[in-house]
Amino acid sequence: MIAIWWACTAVAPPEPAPDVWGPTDDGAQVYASCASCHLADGSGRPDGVVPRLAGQPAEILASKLTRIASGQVDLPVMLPFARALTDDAIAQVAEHIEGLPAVAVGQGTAGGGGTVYADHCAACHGAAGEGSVPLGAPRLCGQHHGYLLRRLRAPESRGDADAAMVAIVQTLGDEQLDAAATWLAACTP
Amino acid sequence: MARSVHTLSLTRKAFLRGVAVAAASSVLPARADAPDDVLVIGAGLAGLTAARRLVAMGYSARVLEARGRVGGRTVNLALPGGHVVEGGGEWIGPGQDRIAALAAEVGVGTFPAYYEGATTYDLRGVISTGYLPDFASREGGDFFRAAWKLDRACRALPLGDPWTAANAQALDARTLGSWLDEHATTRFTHDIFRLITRAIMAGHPERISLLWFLAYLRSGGGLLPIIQNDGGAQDQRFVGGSQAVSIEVARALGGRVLLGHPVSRVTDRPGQPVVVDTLGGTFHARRVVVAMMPADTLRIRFDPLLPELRRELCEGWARLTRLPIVKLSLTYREPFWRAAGLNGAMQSDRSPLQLVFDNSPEDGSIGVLTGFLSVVEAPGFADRAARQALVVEELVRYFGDTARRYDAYVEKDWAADPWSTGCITPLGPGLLSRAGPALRAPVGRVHWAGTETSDRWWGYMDGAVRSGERVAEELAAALT
Repeated sequence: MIAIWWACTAVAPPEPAPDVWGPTDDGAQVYASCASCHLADGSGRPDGVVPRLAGQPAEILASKLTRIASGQVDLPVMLPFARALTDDAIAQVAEHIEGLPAVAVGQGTAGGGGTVYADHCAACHGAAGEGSVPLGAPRLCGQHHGYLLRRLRAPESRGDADAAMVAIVQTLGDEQLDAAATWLAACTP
Repeated sequence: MARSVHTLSLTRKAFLRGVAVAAASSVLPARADAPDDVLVIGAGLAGLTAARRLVAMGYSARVLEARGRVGGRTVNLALPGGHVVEGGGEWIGPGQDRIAALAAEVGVGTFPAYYEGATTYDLRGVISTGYLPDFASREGGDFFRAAWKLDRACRALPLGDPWTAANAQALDARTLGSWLDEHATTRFTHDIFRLITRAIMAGHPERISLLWFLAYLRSGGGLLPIIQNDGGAQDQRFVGGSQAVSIEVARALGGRVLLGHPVSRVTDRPGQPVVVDTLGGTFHARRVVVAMMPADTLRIRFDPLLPELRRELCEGWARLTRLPIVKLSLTYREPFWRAAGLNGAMQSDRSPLQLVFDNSPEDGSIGVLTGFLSVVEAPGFADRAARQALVVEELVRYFGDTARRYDAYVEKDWAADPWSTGCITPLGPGLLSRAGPALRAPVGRVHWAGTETSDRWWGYMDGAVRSGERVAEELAAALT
């Protein structure tokens, strides 16, 4: 009986302690720090406080991290983490995140958001929100609604949206933004 | 100004005199370009204490704070009915004399935290109530043997600079987890240490450097003072919430505390004052105090670059794995658990609510249950709206259906805080023995404060106050 209790309640087996001091030559090792907020599978927080990262193209991620570290993108919460990474570590962790299981590119179903998205966003972010590396447009399908809406409501706030993005968003009303975000978030794992 | 008043023991009277002098000469400098003796970066307890001391000594000092509030990792959350509850650090205990003295100086009182009655334990799948969890005598013996060995080992470390110990590198090359594998013979001991490190240090034994763990114990006077509730580090609470101390210190400093001034750059070039660039303008000073957690200092660009060891310290700190904590509270019409002989405390090895305790106001006029939760350990609790409902169900499991009838839910999610990289960060192997010497060592005219630089009560509010006092003395010596 006691053995059963033990078996039922045993805590997860300890993971090997990372060598936090050694060269960070392994993307998974670097990511252990990111996982504190973005979670081990890169799924972020459903409420949008922390974005989903899994499957985001490595180029997009590396560019973002580099711009955060340089201060070009104003993101205080990420700044210490980005600045702690060497260029190599950024490249490695970006590769790792790209390889995390992503939400399948599908079709959102909710409301008229698909039309808003197709008319205003798809040209850069792809027909199904799959993103475009050449255009520097992040993958959006499956991103959390709360996060998308927060960014859409203030695209210029961090200095990482280009002029086109800011201009396009300004032509849209809050209901349209909400609909587009809902449509994108509807691609779920 | 009375610069000759170099008294280090700041009495209330002396302080009031300082305020009077300040008020009389209306020293509330609004001009960003007027050089100060000292600019303090960070209006947490460390930075505010440093500024308060320096001002009392007759120096001109201002505090630059990124947030729109003071208090750093202490923060009061508003509850209905004018009550507050802490979203960050909140307890003080015996030996934490400096935060106690500061609170008394600014008129913030304390009261005993509520521990009367039985604690609820949910360990190994069994829910029980009592003063201690159920364990076999063999298990108890094993735990206390391990605790005794750790206690003895921590006392062998030099206070304040554990990296100078002869065996520092060896201790820092392994984790607490691996030490327990070697020295603990029962699962019980492993489980209890896991509870302790999660609840008190926001980390897991297999991630925590043995050297850091022992240094942490050393700074608090041993394992028992740290883990004990009544009579230990969780003994007392502040009337009006722990942030009240910072608020009152800042009130006394008046216009010297500048909120909404995140610092982007500190330039320390020979032949000119130190230049501090912020979003709210550029400031100049003879000396600068950075009163921030080491990882957070990466937010600032230093020109010239900081020495390699200092950079390694901060970068290593930011790369640590951590358990960011959501500290959440639910309010009830009354502390209903007390009538049932419970003290409201709960510890579990399976619930995402790793620790719950009675956080009601002193008069018990409403009931408050506060819990800690890490989304990393419980991804199902990652969504705030879902979290609230799930937390209520957890409380119902331990305190019955009455727990469902709460009035308000508030939380502080430290992972989402833009200005703090977590609340407490236990160090992993390799960092402290190597980069420890860079923790406090001034770099040019830049000095360091913050609870992580304190010799006593590292990670506690008391450590923050001590670090502020230490750095003020450091500056007084440098500025004469």
